[in-house]
Amino acid sequence: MKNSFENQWKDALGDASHTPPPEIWDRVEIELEKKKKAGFLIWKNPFLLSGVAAALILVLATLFLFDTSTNIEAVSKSEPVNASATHSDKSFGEEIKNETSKEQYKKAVNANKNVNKTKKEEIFNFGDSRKTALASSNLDVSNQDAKDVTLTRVTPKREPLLDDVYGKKNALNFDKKTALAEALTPAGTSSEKESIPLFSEAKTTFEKLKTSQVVALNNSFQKPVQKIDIALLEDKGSAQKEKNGWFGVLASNAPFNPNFSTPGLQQQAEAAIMNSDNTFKLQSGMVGGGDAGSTGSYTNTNRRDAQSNFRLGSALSYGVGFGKRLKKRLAIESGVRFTTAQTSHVYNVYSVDKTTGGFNSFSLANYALPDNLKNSDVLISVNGSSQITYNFLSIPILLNYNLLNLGRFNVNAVGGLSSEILLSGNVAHPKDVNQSFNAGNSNFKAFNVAGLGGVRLSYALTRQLDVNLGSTYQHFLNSGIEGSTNASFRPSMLGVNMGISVRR
Amino acid sequence: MKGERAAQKQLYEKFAGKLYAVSMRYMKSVDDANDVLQDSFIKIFGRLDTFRFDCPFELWMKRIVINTSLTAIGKRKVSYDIDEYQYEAGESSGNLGLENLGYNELMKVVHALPEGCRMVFNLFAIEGYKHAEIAEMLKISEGTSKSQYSRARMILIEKIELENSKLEDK
Repeated sequence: MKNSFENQWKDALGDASHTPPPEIWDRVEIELEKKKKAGFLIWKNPFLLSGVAAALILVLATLFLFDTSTNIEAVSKSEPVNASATHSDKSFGEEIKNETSKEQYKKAVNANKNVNKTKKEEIFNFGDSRKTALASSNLDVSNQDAKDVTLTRVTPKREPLLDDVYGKKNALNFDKKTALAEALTPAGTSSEKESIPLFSEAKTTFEKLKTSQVVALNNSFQKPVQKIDIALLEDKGSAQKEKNGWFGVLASNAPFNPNFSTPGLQQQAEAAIMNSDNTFKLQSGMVGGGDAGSTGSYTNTNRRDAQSNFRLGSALSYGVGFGKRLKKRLAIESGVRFTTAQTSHVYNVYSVDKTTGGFNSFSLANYALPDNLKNSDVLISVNGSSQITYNFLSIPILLNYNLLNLGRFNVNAVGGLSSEILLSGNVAHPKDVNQSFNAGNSNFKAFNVAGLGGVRLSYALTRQLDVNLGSTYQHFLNSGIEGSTNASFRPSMLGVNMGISVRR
Repeated sequence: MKGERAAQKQLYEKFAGKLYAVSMRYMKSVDDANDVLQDSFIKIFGRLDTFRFDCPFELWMKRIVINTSLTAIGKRKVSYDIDEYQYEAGESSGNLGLENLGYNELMKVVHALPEGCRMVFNLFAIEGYKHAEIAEMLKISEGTSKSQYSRARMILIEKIELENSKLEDK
């Protein structure tokens, strides 16, 4: 045996050395450089991707907390006038611009600014015409006593444009319904005369104003009522914005990477093998992976390349979702999804129960499904393969930020967290042997948290119906396996999703 | 060490010779052996973080070279001639006289083997794999592996005898 054919060759060539050509290292170096550059690609690094998802969440949260831009939906109808005094001043100024001098406007603005808050509210709660009247009066209202006087209100005869009360940014702080009602009310009806308090010393001047300048000003605004109706009907954008919620259905298909790693498998397997029966023979009718059911004589070999690969599979998700707009560009959404993912597990290290004859992947038996095999022996043999199915119920909470609005076409960034609840799973071994599992009878955790982020394109088919197409990356933030420090299960998915949503 | 070019070069210089000899055993042409060595080192540097120090580092690298070689050969169509004779492993064959030949002569003899025979010979005789494992690796039957090895053994014995007789003639 010592002088066998094999041993002689092993001695002769087993430890031989042959200096390679010097250019090989240069070629290796070039390839390494290429790999290094490619390594920066974000999708090659799941941890970086998780970081990006987290950053996206942070950015969206920041936008949510600190976004102070004016927004139709965000402004309350009962919002204090004081906060919008500037807007009122501006629209007020624009109104008089064509009819009175800038000087008059400036004086009026200064006068208004000097009024204390209470007085200011009273003044700015007037209709446009009253403000016009005040502006034209050149009154110094700061020293007046508001309780002493009343002012007869003059109803404007002009019909305000839509911009005055509805569409213009500066007019947004008026109560829309009230303003619209006023605009549509024919002159000389209920609101024609109304006693309101004003300052005593201004009374005389204002009466004069009423009969001259204001009337003159009012007569200059003549717009047909029909104009308003047409403008309202045509303002689809505003009408669409008022629909600040949606619900819909979605489905996605994604490559599913289980990221099931078993570092230390080699040491554990070899340590276990040392205490195992190395000549243990697999028996007929065995349950488990590999060549289940076959009669074999698989013994530990001198191979020491323990293998346990949980390969890339695919996942299918479908469910319902709903969302609500928080700000002009920001929305929050949630829903319920069912995800079923399938992946294959290839291994050559087996746990074998000599009592029952059952055998299984060493990784599954030791890290995931501990109750399957007890008092088992270990052997390294030929490759076996099993199909693993995971079924998750997912409840995501996402922030949705509108990156781009091109009319009907919108681009949104979505990011957030998702609760991933393991409902059930199955390991399908060869020979139609199935092994079901859930969080109760395995080391898989029931509740997991995943980070996810992506981009979604939506197209408005009608005023209420959107179709969506997007790509989302999802990665478990925690290991989906407990009870072992030697195994980690952090699935990730990067796939395409599509859906239909209805605005409401 | 990953990413540190100087350390990588140091590693390369230390092990390239032995690993190149492995790739030369599997690949008939020098160009192919060069390619295998290059690809193997790319894999080695890329997978350093997966090495668990649970086996000799050299053995781990050697496995990568072997797998890379088999993959490269597998891309070509390899025919395995059927040979009914099956040699039993461990059978004594007397002194072959390999010690009389230098590395280059031995490699010349090994390269004279048909591709399939050469792979099985390398895996069985030098690496120490079993025929069942070789069958799995090469996706052939165990019987084919055994017959290929028998044939390789026969050819090698003949060639070695020839080389030795040449030496005696000198």
